[in-house]
Amino acid sequence: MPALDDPFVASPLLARFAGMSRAALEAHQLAKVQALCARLHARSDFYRERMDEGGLKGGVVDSLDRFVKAMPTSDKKAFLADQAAHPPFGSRLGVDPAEVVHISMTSGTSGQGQEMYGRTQHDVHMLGYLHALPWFMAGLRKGDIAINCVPAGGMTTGGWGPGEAIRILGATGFHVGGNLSTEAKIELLLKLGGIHFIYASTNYLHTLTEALLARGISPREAFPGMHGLFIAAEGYPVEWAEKIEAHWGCRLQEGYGSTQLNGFGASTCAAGVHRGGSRGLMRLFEWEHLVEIVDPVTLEPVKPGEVGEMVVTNLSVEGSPAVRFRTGDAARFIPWQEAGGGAWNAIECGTIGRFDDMMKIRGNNVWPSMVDAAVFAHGEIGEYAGRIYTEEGRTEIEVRIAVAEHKADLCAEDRAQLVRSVREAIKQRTNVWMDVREVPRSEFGEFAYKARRWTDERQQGYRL
Amino acid sequence: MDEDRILAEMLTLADRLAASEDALMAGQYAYLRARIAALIELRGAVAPAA
Repeated sequence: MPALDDPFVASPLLARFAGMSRAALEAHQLAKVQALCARLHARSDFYRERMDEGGLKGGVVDSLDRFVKAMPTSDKKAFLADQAAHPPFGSRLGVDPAEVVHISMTSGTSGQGQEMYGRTQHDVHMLGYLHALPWFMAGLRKGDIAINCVPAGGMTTGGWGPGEAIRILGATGFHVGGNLSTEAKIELLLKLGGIHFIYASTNYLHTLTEALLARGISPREAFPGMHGLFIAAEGYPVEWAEKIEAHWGCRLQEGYGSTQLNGFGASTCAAGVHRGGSRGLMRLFEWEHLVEIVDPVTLEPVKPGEVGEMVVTNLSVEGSPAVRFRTGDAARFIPWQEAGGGAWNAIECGTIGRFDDMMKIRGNNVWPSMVDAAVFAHGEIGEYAGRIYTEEGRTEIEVRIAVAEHKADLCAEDRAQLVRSVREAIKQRTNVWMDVREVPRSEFGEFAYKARRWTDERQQGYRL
Repeated sequence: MDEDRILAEMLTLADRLAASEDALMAGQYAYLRARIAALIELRGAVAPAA
C-alpha cells in the first residue's frame, strides 16, 4: 500500500500543533476555555446559570481541572428544553442572533427532537476547516477529484462541511451523496476518468464497493489514481478494513465528528485504521476541542483502555457552542503516552458506539457495532438486519443476513456454513446466541448515510 | 514569512472595510473579515470577542 506524504512535513502549522508538549497543549486549552467562559458568562443565560451553579463566578476559570469539576455538563435534553423556552436557538446561543448565517440541526434519529445550532460566518469557516483538517492529513490536495457520498446540503453539519472543506483545500468536489443512486454514482465515477479521494459513511463505502464488485469492476484497476478513502459514522471489523484497502489499493482513514463538534474532532491522520491486524487510533484534535472520556454514571474519567462517554467543549466555536456536552457517544480511551508519539489523546478506530443504542439482551450489554463487526468479518455478506422480540416471555434475537451480489454463486453448502460461522462469531463478540438465517439480498435496500439495522420489538410482546 | 503578522494586518484592513455604508457590500465584507479572523484563530490564537 503506498504511504501518504507526511502531512506534518507539508504543513509547518500542523507540525507546530503536533510538536506541542502536553503542558503547552493544556495551557492553550485553558486560554481558550477562559475566553469561552468569559464570553458566555456575559452573553448566554443558559451557560451563565450553569457557571454560577457550579461556582465559576463571573465565568472565571483558573484551571482545566477546576473547569471540568465545576462546570455542570449539558446534554441533548437540556438543549431541547432551552430552545423550546427561548426559540429558535435557546439562550445558549452566545452571540447576537443577527450574526447567525447558518443553521445546523441534528438528524432527530434519537426520537427526542432536533437540536438547533446557530453558526456565525466565523463558524462556517471553522466548519469547513474541521472537515479539511483530517482530509488534508489523509492526503487530499489541490487538483484532486474528491467524491463526497454523504448527502449534501440541508440543515445538517455533515451536509455543508464537506463542500466547504473541499473548497478550502482547493480540490474538485463531486457531491454525489443523496441525489444519485449507487448505479448512477458508478456511471459518473467511470466517466470522470480519474478520482483520488472518497468520503463516505462506513456503510455506504461497503455498499459502493459491493456494487462495483457485483458489476465485475475492480476498484483499484478502474481508479488507479485513488489515494484516500475516508469513513465516519459507524463501526466495522478490522478484516473488513483490510479487504476494503485491498479492493481499492489505498489506505482507509477514519474520522470522528458530530454537529456538536462543528465537524471532526479526531482522525487517524495519515496512519490508517489498522496496525498489523489490530485496530488503529484516531488522534483527538485537542487544540480545537476539549474532549473528556468519562464513565457515564459517575462522570469520572475512565482509565486507559476503557470505554467511556465523550464529553466535548468547543474551543473555536462562536454560535451555539457545546460546553461539557454529553454526546452519548461511546469510545475506547487511549492516553497520549500510549498513542505512538505526540501529545494528543486518542480513541480506538472502528468501535465508536452510542450509549443509547446499547441493547440489554439476556443480561449482556450488546452494541450494534459488535454484531456489525461479527457479521462483516465475513466478506461474503452484503447486508444484514437484526430484530429483538419477545416470544412466550423470552427475549429472542433474529439476524437476517444476505449474501453480497458479487458472491451470488455461493453453493448451498457454503451458505449453510456461512450462517453457522456468523452465528458463532456473534456469540464470540456479544456472549449471546442469536438466530441467524439467510435471506435474499433484495430484502434490504441501501442506506445512503448511517445504517439503521436494528429494531427492538420487545415491548410489543407485552401487549395484552 | 510572518503569516500571523500579515493576517493581523489583513484583519485591521477588513475592519475598515466592514465600516462601509454600502449595504450590498456590508455582508460580503463581514464574510471576508470572519474568514480572516477564523484563520487567525485556527493558527492558534485565542479569538477576540465576536
